[in-house]
Amino acid sequence: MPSPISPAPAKNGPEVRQQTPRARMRDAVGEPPWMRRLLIGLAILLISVILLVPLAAVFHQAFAKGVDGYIAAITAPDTLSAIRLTLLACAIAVPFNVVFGVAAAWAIAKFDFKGKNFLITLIDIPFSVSPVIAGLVFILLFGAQGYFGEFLSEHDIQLVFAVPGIVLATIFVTFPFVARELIPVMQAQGTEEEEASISLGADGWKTFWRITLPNIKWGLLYGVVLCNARAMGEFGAVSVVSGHIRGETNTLPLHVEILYNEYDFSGAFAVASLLAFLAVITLIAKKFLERGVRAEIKAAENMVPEQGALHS
Amino acid sequence: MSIKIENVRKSFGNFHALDGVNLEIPSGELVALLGPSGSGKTTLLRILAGLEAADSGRILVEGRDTTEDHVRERQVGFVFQHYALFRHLTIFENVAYGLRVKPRATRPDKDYIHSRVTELLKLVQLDWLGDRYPAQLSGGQRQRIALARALAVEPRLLLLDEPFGALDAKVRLELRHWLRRLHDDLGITSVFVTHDQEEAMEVSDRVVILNAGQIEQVGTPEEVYDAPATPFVHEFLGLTNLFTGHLRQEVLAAGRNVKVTEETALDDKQGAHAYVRPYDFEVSLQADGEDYIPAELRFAQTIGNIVRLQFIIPGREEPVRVELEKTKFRALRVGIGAKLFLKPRHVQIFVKDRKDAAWAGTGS
Repeated sequence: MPSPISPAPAKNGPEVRQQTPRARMRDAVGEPPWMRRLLIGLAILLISVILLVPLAAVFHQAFAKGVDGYIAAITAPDTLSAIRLTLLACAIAVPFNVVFGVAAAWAIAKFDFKGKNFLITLIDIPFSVSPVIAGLVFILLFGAQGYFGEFLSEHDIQLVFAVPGIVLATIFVTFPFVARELIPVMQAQGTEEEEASISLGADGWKTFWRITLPNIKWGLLYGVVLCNARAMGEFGAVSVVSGHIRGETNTLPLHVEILYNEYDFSGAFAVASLLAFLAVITLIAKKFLERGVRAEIKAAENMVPEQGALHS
Repeated sequence: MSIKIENVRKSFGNFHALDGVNLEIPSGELVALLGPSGSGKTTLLRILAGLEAADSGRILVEGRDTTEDHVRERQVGFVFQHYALFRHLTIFENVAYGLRVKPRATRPDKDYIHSRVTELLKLVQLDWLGDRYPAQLSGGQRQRIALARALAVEPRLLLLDEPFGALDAKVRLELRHWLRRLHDDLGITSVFVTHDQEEAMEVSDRVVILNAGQIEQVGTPEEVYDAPATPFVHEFLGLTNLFTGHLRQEVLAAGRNVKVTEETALDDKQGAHAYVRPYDFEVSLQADGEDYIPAELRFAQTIGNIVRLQFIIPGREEPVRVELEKTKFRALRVGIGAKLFLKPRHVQIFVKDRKDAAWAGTGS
């Protein structure tokens, strides 16, 4: 194999010759070939050990008892119930976070107000707090011995160790995803288009639906995908508030743990494979959406030829 | 639509963007707000549009106070510095936007919208671009679409924020003339912001010169150029030479043939400023009278048909900038280091009145 530095032999044809200047340029500014190969090799090794091998192991273990065993494991009543609960939690948490995330990003990116930085910090709390602690906080607030425990039991409302608690915990841990994704997109776009819309006679609502929302649609979808993945995969916070009641308050990740603890390895991995499959789908969707988000930010930059131009 | 701005003030934190601005804009005029960056011109434009609220003061439109009106209600067309076209809508939909978002009761039907948008696109000579997207257009084309979009809602007042700021020199020149013709055809009262004095002079009926949140002078382009009210206006409108010093009584009284001698250039007791534009010097080989200043040529640069010269006058640090036609300079047959004589043909004098710090100007 010819080294990238050497000029391409004529027999390789015009295709290779076209690449030569670029290869030479890379050589001029880059590392020597052995260094490049070593670093790339290390990176591939690391990714294989940490990501690819475990992923393969999940699917291998899942089918340890054959296809029939796999189907039996994921169609067991408790598993189906866990799937339903996970989907329900997502169906509530994701739309909630979409509404909250868009509203927060809109406020942060398009307006200046006191306490803006505080709001940004607030949104980030779920990122910095351990999910287990988040779950414990809900127990502390709404549990039988909690601050609101008496009030809740008087009115016969069961929050923790029940579906509402799981939904609350899921909302809490997925809180920042949509807002965090939208803020940079909206900041890059600035407020001129909204001002133009209003000066043309549109009210705030029409401006939002006709101008703001179409401009952020890729960023929003991207945020939704990440938010959804986290909502389905959340373990820590949900584990604390769930109570692990089989068939009632078990989500998919919790169910995996239960099966594993009962030495039903192939069952645990079969259910885990559902989550792994979701992760793969998320990755593909993410890859696809990232292109749209980049285009959105790039378009914003194109529309403003002189960033930070004179405003007097 | 005539506009009256009364004592408008606006601060951003400690920064006084507008510090008591009074201005009247007669109906149908094309007015330029001219000033350096930070002078408050864009802020004033945005307050006129209702995009920004004044801290105090009033804006009267045909005698009616509109200070509290919402942007939507002002019937103002605003053209943004970076055009702010809706990137996800076609050019046609961009122009149609203002008509489509009208409340149902006043919204025109589809056929009308179609014919109106087509008409506007023809007006800006871009009817062949209707189904493109903003990103596919050049800067000059985007600018014209932004204008067509603002005109679609039949504004009573057209406001343009640095309309040519982001364009290259050639397109800028074309669009300037085009905007002037368009204004003459449509007759909408228009205000545009610029920091380019040439642009303001060339396009507008009336120039408003702002500095540090206050209006320095309002007048036709000729008025502000020929009779600047303050040293700032004179300095802002073009390259100039400043001579500070004591001006003798008889010279001020005569008002002509001001002597800018070594003595006057050094003495600052009376706070008088005398300005001479670079092209207002006569350059000669000998002194014909006492009005001539001896000077040494330090620098010469030919640009097209003119030669830019810099002279050193004894006792003065700043070089004196002089512009001569190339043929005149050639006729002198001199080079760097030559000892020549300068005579100012036209001097603009400002004497500072100590009591209220106002400037009294006089030309000669």
